Amino acid sequence: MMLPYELIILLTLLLLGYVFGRLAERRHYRSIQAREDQYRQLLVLAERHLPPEYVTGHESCLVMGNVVVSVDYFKMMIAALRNLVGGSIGAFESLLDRARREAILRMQEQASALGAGVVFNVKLETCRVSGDASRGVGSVEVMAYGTALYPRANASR
Amino acid sequence: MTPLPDGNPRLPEHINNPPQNALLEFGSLVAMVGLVMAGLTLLLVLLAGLLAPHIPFRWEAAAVSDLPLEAPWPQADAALNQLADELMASMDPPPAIPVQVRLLDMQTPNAFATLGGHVLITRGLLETITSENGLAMVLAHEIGHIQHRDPIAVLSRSAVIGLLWAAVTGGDNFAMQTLFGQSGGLTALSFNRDMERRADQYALDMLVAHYGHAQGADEFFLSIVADHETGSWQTLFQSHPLTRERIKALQQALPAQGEEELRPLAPALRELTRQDSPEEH
Repeated sequence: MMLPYELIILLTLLLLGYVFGRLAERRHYRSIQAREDQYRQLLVLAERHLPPEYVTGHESCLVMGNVVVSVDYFKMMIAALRNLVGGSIGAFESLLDRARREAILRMQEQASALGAGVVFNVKLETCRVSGDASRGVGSVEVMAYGTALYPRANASR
Repeated sequence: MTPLPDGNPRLPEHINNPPQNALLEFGSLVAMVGLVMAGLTLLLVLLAGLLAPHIPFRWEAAAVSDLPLEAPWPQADAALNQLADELMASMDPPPAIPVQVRLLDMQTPNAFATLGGHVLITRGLLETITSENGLAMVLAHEIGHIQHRDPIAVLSRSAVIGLLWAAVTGGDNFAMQTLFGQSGGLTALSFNRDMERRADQYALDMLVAHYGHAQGADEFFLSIVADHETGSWQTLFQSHPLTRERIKALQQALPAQGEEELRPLAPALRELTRQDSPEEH
């Protein structure tokens, strides 16, 4: 009997996607949690209005963090199957959760480099940057941006 | 404005990233979709098998019109067509669908019945046969497929299944097609077991009607089994996997005692067979 080579290749790709995707996800979550602890004091707020004391004593600057993530074969398969029966695609939820948090962390890193203590008016944008939706593969960009406030160099002025 | 918080809160992890077992989810999804697909496929195969024979033959004939293949041996074709016509005329009532036979210049011994009442016989098959009776069995078998509308049934079956796969997999999704398309391979354009059995029975009846006996009916099959022992004709066996079983059934149907007279092949055919052209081997 002829072996279904295509099926074997497919299952190998699926297994690789699953194993490496899972390892990468765990490592990434550990890193995210550690850095979130590190920036615990660098406030990230969705608030649009600056408190009066910040208006006079602080400079403001746009900061942003940007992440592009790609879907692995395993997630793609699960999503393709989900498309048939409906329901939430958990595999994508965790992927995008990581992407959003990573984007915010990168934004915080920029803010931290400016010496900022708070980022106001934080917003998130998501956009597909490559790939073909009908084939279920693609990359997604998540960008976080906001207004970082840091003390004026000459605050006594 | 409320005072600023002391720090960013540590929010629970499971809200935006619910715990999940991806492998389990994958397995259940495959099982669910696979089950539904299998059910739909079965239903469509049954429907196609039931409905296809009722497609008017003239629609089928109009769709395929004439064979584009060349005819390398017009005289042999004429002899084959004459034999087919004689076989059909001996049935009571004679079969409704006209049949056209064409000899192909291929070495692999094989015979096909295709759309539009066309029967194709390879030269390789002719070379495995020594008597008209053996050839008549092959012809009658293919005529049986055509009278039962097997070619259009097979085509309808693979067409509806192809449509189903395309609808579900989105047409060009490689991964989905590979995952579920493997079972689609079972629907390749070949006649199934029942069709072969039915055509064999039809052919035996036809032989008895024409010659008064079915002696020599197993000639072609015995010949390909003998050749198969030497390791050739793999391709043939893939398209006719049940040869041994069929020989057994055929031999049970043959007259038990006595060697009936076998007729020789028509001259136009005989000069193409093995005995008369040994230099080609």
